[in-house]
Amino acid sequence: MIEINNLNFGYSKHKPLFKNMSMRLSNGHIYGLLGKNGAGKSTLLKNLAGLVYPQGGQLDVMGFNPTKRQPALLSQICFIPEEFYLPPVKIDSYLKANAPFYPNFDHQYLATLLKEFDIPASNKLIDMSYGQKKKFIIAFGLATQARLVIMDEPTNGLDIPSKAQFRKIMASALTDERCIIISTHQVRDLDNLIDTVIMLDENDVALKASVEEITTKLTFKKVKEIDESIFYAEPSLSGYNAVMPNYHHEESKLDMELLFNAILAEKTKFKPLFS
Amino acid sequence: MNRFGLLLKRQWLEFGKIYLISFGVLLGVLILFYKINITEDNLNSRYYNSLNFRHPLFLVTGFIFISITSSSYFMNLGQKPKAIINILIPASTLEKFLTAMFYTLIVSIPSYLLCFYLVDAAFVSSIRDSHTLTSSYTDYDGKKIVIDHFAYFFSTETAIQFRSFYYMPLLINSIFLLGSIFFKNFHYVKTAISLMVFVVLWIASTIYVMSKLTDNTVWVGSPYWQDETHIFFATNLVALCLTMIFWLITFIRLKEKEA
Amino acid sequence: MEFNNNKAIYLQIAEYICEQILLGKWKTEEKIPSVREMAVTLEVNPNTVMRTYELLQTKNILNNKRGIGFFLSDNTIDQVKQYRKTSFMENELPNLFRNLYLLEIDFDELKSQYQTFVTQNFND
Repeated sequence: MIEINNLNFGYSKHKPLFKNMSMRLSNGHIYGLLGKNGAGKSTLLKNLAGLVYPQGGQLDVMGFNPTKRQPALLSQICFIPEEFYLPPVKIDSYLKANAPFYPNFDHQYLATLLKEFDIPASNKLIDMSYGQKKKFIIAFGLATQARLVIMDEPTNGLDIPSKAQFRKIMASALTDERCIIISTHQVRDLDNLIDTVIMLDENDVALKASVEEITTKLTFKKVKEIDESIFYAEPSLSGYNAVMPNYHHEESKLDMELLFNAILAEKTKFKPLFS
Repeated sequence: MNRFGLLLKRQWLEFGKIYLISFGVLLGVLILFYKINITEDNLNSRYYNSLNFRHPLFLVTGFIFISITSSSYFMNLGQKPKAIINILIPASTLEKFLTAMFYTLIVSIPSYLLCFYLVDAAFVSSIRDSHTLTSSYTDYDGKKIVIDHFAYFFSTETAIQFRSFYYMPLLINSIFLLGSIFFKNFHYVKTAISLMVFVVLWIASTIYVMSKLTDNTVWVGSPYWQDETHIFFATNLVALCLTMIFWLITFIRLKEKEA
Repeated sequence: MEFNNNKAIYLQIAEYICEQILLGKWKTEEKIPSVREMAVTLEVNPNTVMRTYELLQTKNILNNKRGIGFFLSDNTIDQVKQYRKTSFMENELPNLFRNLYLLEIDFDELKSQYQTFVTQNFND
């Protein structure tokens, strides 16, 4: 689906954001893109969609070079930016103007999604709140039936019921042909939705592994005391939340926040496990 | 081709509003100027030049209308969220560029001319119903020339001469279209200022260079450049080349726009 | 459904399904919700549900009829009990024993407690 080879990118020459980054993404997965502020999550997504030009390396998205911005590729990309703009028109006229560009656009599906998100189809886009607009572009984007779905912080601005609706919608949106990439700070909003974690740090991919692989190799649990087998631990009410190698084939639940902090703090300990 | 049609339809949603507002203002301004300048007093006192305000009006409103419509077309690309949407529309860059040309050239310029023609026709025909004012003289060949001082604008002698500057609207379009994609904000003001600075520098340097070169010299070459039509031809050619170059740069900027 | 933080999600889903079966909400040889439907209900990744269904298939609790969907097997209740029993013995019993030992709880006391619990909760 996506192949990144030795990607080099930076907004200025002296401050590279990615150095020789390589990665492969395939369909049938929901990738969770994690990283500190400024680690380049949004920038990586923009590279994939051809919104910015890499300084070096190759990008292959469904057989296309995204920087060429060919219509055949663009019609297969659903990109939900963190900050977006919708013209001040009615939903109906927005659809009439934009939907025909997508050969597989599914109006029936859009109606279902809008209903699920509680957005009346007669609404004017300008009268809607930020959250409603966001839900609208998500619904529109999914209804294009694009094979590559890229979402930058999709749950920002959604209220609690909308987040649950969002998770349901994304669970149903994942098909074998689709590749979904979601960047997020709100790990807890989405952690059961993500099946593969991609973490960016220090100009490169710090970790890319499926939840299954991570929980086979690592175990996440509460412990009373810290010993040297523990990679990383954070104090909690009843002892410590700890990450350690999974010696006893325990089936623990991946704690994404803990993993995130653990990798930022103890990168070298994790490297040999995931290479 | 089908996609180009879709794009025209889609872009109307974005550009149509600005265009229609500009057009409305244009119409209002033209009517206002005609109303103010055409008074019974002016007509009855038999001023020969009572309709002469039309020529500067034509040039100034024409410049403003074409520059504003051209300048606002790519304005959206200065804001990231809007630029993202525009880049991701599944159409080729060429199609997007041609759509820009369609609205800022093929729609704007003829609609301006038509608007001016209609306003002029409405006012002038009502004058002609009740007034006539002509004068005449005899030219070198002994032929009698009659000047109709209440002629329709596009049949006046001066307006006919304007035709040899047909490239001006294209040049203005190309400059402001480029400005709208080149600058991130305040496109119009920045483009206008750059244009002014450029023109002043150009004129100043031309005068300087030419005077340096030609001071205390006499023309000994062929009389080719003495002929006005040849000079016109050369300036037209330069202007058209500049226009093409500006369009080309605009296209490249559009292709390489990042968000 | 609320997930807790102690166990892999796919195992928690397996428990949820076993619970539905033991409570009689889903009947033997019936078709159960598809992977997608289940993922939507639980708001989890379909691949996780798929992993659960594959697990339950190896435990002979589910049958995959290709192109139709997943069905409960004919002796599903026995299989569920077997699966739950193993899982209980392996995962929960050691904890219970540990507490019994630490708190010095007598087996006879435990037995009477157990019987009252059963009559209170299941004998009506």
